[in-house]
Amino acid sequence: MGHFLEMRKISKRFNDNMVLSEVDFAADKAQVHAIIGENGAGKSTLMKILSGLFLPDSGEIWMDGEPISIQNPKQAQEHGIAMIYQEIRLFPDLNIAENVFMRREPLRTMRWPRLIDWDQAYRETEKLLQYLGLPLHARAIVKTLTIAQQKFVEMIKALSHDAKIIIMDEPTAALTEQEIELLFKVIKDVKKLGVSIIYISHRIEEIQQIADKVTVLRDGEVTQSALSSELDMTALIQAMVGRQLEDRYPKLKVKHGKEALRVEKLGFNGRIRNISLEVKKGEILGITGLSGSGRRTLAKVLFGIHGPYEGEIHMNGKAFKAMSPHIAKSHGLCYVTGITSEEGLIMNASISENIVLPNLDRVSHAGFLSTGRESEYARDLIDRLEISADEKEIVQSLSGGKQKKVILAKWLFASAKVLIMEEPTAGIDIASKLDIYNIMNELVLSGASIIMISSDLPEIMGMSDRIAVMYNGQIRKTFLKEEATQAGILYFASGGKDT
Amino acid sequence: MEQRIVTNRRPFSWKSFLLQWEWMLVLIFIGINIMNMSLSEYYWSFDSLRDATMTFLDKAFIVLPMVLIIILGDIDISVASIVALASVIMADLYTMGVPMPLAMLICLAVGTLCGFVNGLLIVKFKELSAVIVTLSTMIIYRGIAYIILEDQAAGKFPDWFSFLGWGYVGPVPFILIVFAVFAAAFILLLHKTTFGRRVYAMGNNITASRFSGVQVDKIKLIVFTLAGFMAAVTALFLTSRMGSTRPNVATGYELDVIAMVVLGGISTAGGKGKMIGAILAVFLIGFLRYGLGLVNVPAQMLLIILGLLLIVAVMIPKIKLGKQGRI
Repeated sequence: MGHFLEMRKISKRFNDNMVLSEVDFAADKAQVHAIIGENGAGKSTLMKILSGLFLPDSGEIWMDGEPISIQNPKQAQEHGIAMIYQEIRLFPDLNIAENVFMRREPLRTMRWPRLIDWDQAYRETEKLLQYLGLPLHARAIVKTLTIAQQKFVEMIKALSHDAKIIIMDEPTAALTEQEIELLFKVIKDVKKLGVSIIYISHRIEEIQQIADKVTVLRDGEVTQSALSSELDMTALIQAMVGRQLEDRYPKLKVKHGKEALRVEKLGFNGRIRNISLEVKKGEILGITGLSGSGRRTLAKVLFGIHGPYEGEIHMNGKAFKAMSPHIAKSHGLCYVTGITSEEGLIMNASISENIVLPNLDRVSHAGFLSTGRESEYARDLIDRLEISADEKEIVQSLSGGKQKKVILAKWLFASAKVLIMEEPTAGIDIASKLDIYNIMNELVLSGASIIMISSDLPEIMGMSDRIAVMYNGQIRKTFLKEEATQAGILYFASGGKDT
Repeated sequence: MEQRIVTNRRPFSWKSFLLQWEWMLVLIFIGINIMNMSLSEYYWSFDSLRDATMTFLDKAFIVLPMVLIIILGDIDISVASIVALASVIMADLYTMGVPMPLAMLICLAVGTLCGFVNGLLIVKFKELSAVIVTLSTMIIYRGIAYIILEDQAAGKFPDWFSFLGWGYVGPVPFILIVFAVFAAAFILLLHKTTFGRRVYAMGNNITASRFSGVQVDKIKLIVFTLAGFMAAVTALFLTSRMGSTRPNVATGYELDVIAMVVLGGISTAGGKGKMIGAILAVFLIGFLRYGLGLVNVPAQMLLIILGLLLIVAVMIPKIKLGKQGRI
């Protein structure tokens, strides 16, 4: 007893699926309480109940020793509960203060006309920005900010609502190492204000850095709840997946063949400069760097999305001009984007429709589609990638991990030889991650090459043969797998030079 | 890991099959016919219905490519001006002594070229939306038509030319046969080919389509060029039916055509809808207009009915979605 917030015996079922069964959860003031679990474990559902989006089938919520009722998001807000979603929910064309005070703008004392007191809004926003030590101006337009900075704006918005509980859903999903560090600093500052922070994450390594308490959910039940100092990583993983994971990065040793892709002195618009690299058949080249280092630009130039570029690109020893994704694709080069809903998938089309899109010729005769062959190929790939879904299922309804696999399936279907994979496992659960690493192994075994662009350092170090570190549009350093250390990569990623 | 197998596959159900908007159109169509029959005893005869189709089918040719354009999430409001320009050039060439068959071919070429120019502008200047581009070319094409004929009528075509608009093959109007052929071709194109699949994909998410190697510019260009060509086909039949042409011919057709497409259940947001819906809408509006014309309902009244039907067409998917959207 005596917890600030208590959720008691919360149960929830959707149709026939028991999503939460008698879950107990407690959070205290000035504490970061992490909830971890795989996709489908019920963490988001639990938090959506707390923030009023879902009603529980049974169970009670107590706050400050009294039972409270949360029927809708508005009531949750009145109780001081704020949720920061994985996707940013701000108005991109408005400035920080306008976003922070959206729909509850301070008014001037004058009775009529009721004017907004912008001076006060800007003053209060600046005050919060200063408290958190953020070098931002209250009048900065939100879309000009980085993802990390936008998260901070959401944080400030919650604080200005006098939030007592802030729920953060996968806050580090799209952030770089450096930004994550800053985020953690901000979280600690917010904690000092007496706010209770509930932190939902997949990334176990973060938990020990930031969380005071950890609750692990698996299949709708609490499997572990303890102080984070009492748990080590293997214990957490075990509680999450229910089995021992031997190796989180099952990298196979594959013999490298001939050169598959060679890039010479590639430059585009000043955003990337003088980039030379090569990938052999069977090789995984990791590329990492902070956001803004040009990782994504490099991928898009290679795939023909950005252009015209300077320099040369050779595929299998022959020069080719990456003028459009279509040309890149027909040379066997593909880009497995990290941005699922905008660039990766047609969200309201079925799995099979998405899979065959890059190579419709394979399922057609003289331009006429054969839906039979389409389903057949799609089912093959669904089995091979263990997506466990029907090929007619709409991709929107799939979990993040399955969606990532569908994007990958598209390019396996198009028989890509060089795959540029961007953030291949961001925001997905451990089991799906392992699946994707195994597919990468399978691909390089079959003679394909992979350029893996990732900001997840353990992943980069675990899966790559070589690691190129980008800074400010250039490759600063290329490590062999054996030479790479986290510190070394970070040194070059933040602008360090060879001495 | 995941023991429960989640399938969202919807099994075939008569209920959802019959709940499609296209069946709604069939019902409205039947309703209109019943209403017309009770209004006028002259309505329900094969001859009069057959002849009625000749009066509204000319613009229906443009409906077919407009479905593709609207599924892409674009729009083309220059089609009526293309009809006028193609028609006027054909008439002018013929009066200058060019043989009629050649003038007809040039008519088709002019329409195709106009559509190609639209497509090229839209593809090359990505910052311009299709509305803006085709609004400009709408004015330009119509302007050129006025320069050529200077608000005069041109005509006196050879007698055989009237066969297009007035002729019969056996008991069936020639225009109906041509329309049926084009309609079948467009149904196949949209629903059975890789081209149609790509059009749907682009309408749903053009970025993801491009990132999948779909040649989005090429497809857009083809679709707008097709619209130009079909506008020229309309020009042929319309000119034949009227016997002469003027620069202000086909005024307002673009709105009629877009209305038919929207009534046919094709979403202006792109990515959704079926060719058959728009074809049903063509006949629905045509018969409604004809039936009400028989009993002397003023044209304005007809516009109001059309407007109401359109609102219903746009509302119904929203209402359905709204129900599903709640969790």
